[in-house]
This record gives sequence, C-alpha cells and structure tokens, in this order.
Amino acid sequence: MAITIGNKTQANPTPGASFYQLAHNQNTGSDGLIIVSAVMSNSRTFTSATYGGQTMTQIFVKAFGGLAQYTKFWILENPPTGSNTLRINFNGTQWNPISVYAKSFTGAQAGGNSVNLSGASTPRSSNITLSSGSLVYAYGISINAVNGVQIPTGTATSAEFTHNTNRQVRGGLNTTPFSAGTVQIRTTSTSGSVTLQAYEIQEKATAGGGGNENFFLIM
Amino acid sequence: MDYYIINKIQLQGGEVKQNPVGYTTNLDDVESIRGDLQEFTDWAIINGPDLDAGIIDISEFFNSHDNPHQIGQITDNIDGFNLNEITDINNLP
Repeated sequence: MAITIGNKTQANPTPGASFYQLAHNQNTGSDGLIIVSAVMSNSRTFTSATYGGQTMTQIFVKAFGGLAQYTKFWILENPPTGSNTLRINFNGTQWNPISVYAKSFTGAQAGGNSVNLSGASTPRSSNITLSSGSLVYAYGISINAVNGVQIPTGTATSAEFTHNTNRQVRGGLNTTPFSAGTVQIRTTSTSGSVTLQAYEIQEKATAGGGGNENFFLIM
Repeated sequence: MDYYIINKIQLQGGEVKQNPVGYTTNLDDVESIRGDLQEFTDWAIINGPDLDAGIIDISEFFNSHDNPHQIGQITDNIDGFNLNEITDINNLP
C-alpha cells in the first residue's frame, strides 16, 4: 500500500512556559504515522513529546553549540485519529521562539533511516539509504536563510515551513516515492553553514507479497 | 488552504497560558497586525536572560501590556478544533 500524505501543522510561537501544545488532526486510514520535528534555542532542551496522550518515540536529538540551537525528532506509529493534542515538553521555561512541525501519513511504518548532521559550509549533503516506496522529510538550520531542501540533491522541494528560532529553519518533504537504493539529499543556505536532518518515511510492508523479491517455493 | 490559529496569551496563577481564540485564512490580515502578534516574542527575547536569572518576572510584561496574541500554529486541517473564524482581525477576542 502506497504512503498517503496527510495533514500538516506547523508552529513558530514563543511558549513562555515549560511546554507548548497544539492541536493536530491525524488522518483516518490504516497504518498511520505521525512525525514531529522541533527546534529551539539551546537555552533549554526538549524532554518529551506526546500526541493524544501517547508518548512519542524519539528518533534523534542534537545540540548545536555554534548555532546555539537544539533539535529533536519523534514519531508515533498508529496514532489516534482525528484532532488530538500534540504536547512538547522542555526542561524549563522557554522564552525564545520554537519551531514545531507535525505531519501525518497513512500506509506508513516506523523504522526508516535518518540523518542527523551538525552544521557545515553550505551545501550540506548526505547519502541516505531508502526502501522502495519511501518518502523523505529533511530540514536544515542556519544563521542565514535556509534557501533550499533538495530531496534528492538537485530536486528542490517546496518549503513545508520556514521558521525563525533566533536562527533560520526550513523543512522539505518529497512527494514522489523513491525506488529502493541510496540517494543523496541536501540543504543549502544563502551563506555560511547549515545543518542537515532527515528521516525516511517507509511504506508499510505488505506481509507475504508485493515486493519484487518475493517468490513461491512449490514442492 | 492554510488556517492561521491565533492564541491569546494570559498570565494565570503566575504562569503564562495560551489558548486559541479563533482562526483566519487571510494572510493579509495576519500580516496587517504582524507587529502586534510579535509583541510577546519581542519582549521575551529581549528580557529572556533576566527572566531566567529571576531578575525580572513575567508579570512585569502583563502589568504594562494588554493580553497579547500570537500565531499559535498554522495547519491545513482544523476539523475537530472547534474554533470560529475571526471576522475582525483588529478586534481579537
């Protein structure tokens, strides 16, 4: 079953509290998956995230000393459908604006590969190995404007969001499923350094069929 | 279509609380009061270190400002949010 891209929620508020929460509508359909990326000043750290009261699974985290930023990425398989509260907790009151991005999918599963690189001179590139039918979400952080998220390299994605967390943050999602293999992805900024974070959204595996490698043994 | 959900920021029990007051789909409306919507963020960024150090308290902001608003989130589906559309961006609830 191919992945269906669902609803999106993004936010760039100043919490003024030790958490921020918002509503997000998870699409109905089997094999739901919600992904959440968050970025903010490293004056605080993200501690946890819940959706509909369910604890989300952390995929990666990184503190960027030079950028003075902090990011964390979570997913939740088979989340509750409909409108539910997404809550992100910090280790103290955050007085700086945060970046939150939530995206829903159906026909998807956890277990995808990820990329989590510190900042380096633009362009920032990395290979990522993908399963057949996968999509890729990527984002970058920079002191300067992040002007491109290419998935794969050479193919610009439209901005899923552009946020200001005292640094610039931009995310992109490719919408055409990949064939199995390794592809290069890239973030670019107008100058200076930029980070690269990415996650592979895998198509839900079909038990016992559907793949090119499946075969029957007749005895 | 993107729905811009506007939060009202209030001090309740000594803590900052944010509650959505409605939504708009008119980006021009949002841009027209961008400065107002940034009021809390601008103040918090400038005073954040002193707030963290306990030199000042967030109540100082609310003592000198009306309850501000900010864009709480942007979403492409508000089903189930139970929010009304804002019809006068210059008179937010």
